[in-house]
Amino acid sequence: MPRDPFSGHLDMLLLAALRSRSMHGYAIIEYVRQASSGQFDYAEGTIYPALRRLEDDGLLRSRWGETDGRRRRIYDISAQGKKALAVHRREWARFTNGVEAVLDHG
Amino acid sequence: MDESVRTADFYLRDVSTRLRGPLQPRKRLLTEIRDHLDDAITANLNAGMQAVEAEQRAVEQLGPPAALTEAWQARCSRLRTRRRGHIAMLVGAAAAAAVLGIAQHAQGRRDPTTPTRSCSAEKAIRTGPECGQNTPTSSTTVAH
Repeated sequence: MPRDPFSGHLDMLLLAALRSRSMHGYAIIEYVRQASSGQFDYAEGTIYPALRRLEDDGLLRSRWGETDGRRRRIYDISAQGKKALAVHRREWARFTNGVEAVLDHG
Repeated sequence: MDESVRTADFYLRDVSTRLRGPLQPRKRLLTEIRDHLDDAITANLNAGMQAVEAEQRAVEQLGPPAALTEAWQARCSRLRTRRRGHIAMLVGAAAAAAVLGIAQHAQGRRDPTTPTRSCSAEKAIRTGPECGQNTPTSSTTVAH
């Protein structure tokens, strides 16, 4: 899949990855890779500024913690982040329904 | 491509020289990128790659340093704009409070419920109840 469709929805994918459990950056990337069957081609380094932007907005929280004996920055979704994810999902459903309706029309 | 460009150390140095902004956030970002490279190299080694290939692949997957630093600078610009907005809002609120305070002070000077000295009242104080007439009071009347 081309890069642009991913970048437009990076925030939604990061929030979705963290909706059920906290993770560090590399684990988030692995989660997205496996859940999407490797469909997205993007520069992995760019997720770190994106995570910080979501943290700036109060949608994520982060802390230093231990994972497999290594010190890592761990990210959690906030209550505000869950609400934002719900909004993203509704907008995404509206968008895909609209596209499918056009594709199926006639 | 020069092989040195694809090492983790080179990548980190390259990103480090490109990043702008306060030191602590930059240090945290670089630490996270270094941790990411450690995890990616370990995963690639576990997948059967040789050490050099595992490191090069981890660096490639991070993407060009410029992509990371551009995304970082965009985030920093956004924060700066937001802070300027907050400062402008605070300055506006302070100015509004000052104007309101001045207006209330001026209103207080004109407020009819606030005792003020009118011309007649002032004259009454100076000359007695009837302005311009020095009417003697009972205490000052001397019977002849």
